[in-house]
Amino acid sequence: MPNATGDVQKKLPFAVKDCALITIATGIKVQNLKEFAAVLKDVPTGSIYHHFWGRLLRALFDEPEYNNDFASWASRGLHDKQLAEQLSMVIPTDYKDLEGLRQETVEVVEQRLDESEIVPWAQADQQFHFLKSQIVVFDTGIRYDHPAELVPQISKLSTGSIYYHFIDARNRTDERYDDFSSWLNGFDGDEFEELTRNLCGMDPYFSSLKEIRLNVSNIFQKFFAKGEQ
Amino acid sequence: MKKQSEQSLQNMMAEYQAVTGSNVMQQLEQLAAPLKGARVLHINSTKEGGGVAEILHKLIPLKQALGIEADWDVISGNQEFYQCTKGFHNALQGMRQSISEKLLQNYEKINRENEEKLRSKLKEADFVFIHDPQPAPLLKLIPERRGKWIWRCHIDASKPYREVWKYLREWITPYDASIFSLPEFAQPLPHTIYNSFQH
Repeated sequence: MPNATGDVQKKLPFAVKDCALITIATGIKVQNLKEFAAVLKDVPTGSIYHHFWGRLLRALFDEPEYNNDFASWASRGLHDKQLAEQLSMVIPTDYKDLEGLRQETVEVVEQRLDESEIVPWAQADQQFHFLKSQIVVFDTGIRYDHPAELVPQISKLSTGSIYYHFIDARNRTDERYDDFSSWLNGFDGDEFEELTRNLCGMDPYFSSLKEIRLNVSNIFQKFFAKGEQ
Repeated sequence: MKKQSEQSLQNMMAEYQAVTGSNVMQQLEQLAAPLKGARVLHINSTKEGGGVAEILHKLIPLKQALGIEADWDVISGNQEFYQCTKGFHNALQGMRQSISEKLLQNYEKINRENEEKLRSKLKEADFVFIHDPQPAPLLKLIPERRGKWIWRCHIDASKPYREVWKYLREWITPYDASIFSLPEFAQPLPHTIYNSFQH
């Protein structure tokens, strides 16, 4: 089973990584919803991923009203609040892969086009630029031998580490496990089964990285506190 | 650009670390590790004043401290050259500019003169960063180049004056990559376009 520390690392220490995203322009920009729908069908899946998940690692100066870039553009660029709400309800974790996510997003957009008498359009300075990103992974040098060691440390992990081990891992692995769960599964027996189940049950999409970090930390703390009782 | 002493570079890194913390410095070291010993040459047209020179005064020592053989050269030109490149700058920002054929010929001649001076360094560099339009023709003037060439555009080129962009695009298209400050500032080009600000 693939995990943060590689296939051969069952029972080996958990290697804490950090990451950053390098933004790359696809060179594709659109000004109205019809163009948007056409491009959305063909744009690389990396672009779909970037616009749904990449914002988690971006420096944001305010609390975003919508949780993906497409919804934000529908609101800010097209001034179409209804579409923004509908796009905001497309939850990437509901789909088994990015193609499924793309198809659902296209469905929402095309349905809105069917309902519209006039194609919603944006002003020239509000075009949507399709971007993609490349992840750069850093090794922090930090290793943990036993899950209990993580309990006091998770809250100190950087948001880049949380992104890499919790968000990127779920898109990186066929099983869609976060790296903590993959590592825990490598231990013999079912000692950490409940902990793994709780981690896998977390939907990170509506949370900031700081909130995900807090939730993961709480799950670890509760599990090991119960073990001590 | 003259390389600073090892002690001076170490002191600079310590000053950075006092602000950024050790994590950021470790990440920079990891990013630079595969580039250790690589010859990286930056070219622009002003040594002092302006944002590009400010960046390079800090960036070159930082790269050197990380083990990269970074260097910076400044091309020189005559008054007509700067008149022409000022026109390019304004045109990239969308202003209608009439740049005469004579000025364009002078622009190309100045680039050829600078190419003669910098030829061996440009040929041998593993990576060449060309900043803004002033030295853009250098790539085509070095057919025997061995490194990767990157055009770094510091200007908002989202709505350029088309006549001038058509001329400049001929020089920029053959680059291996471009870097624009924001995705919104970029023009479509047939190579990878990176953004310096993580948007």
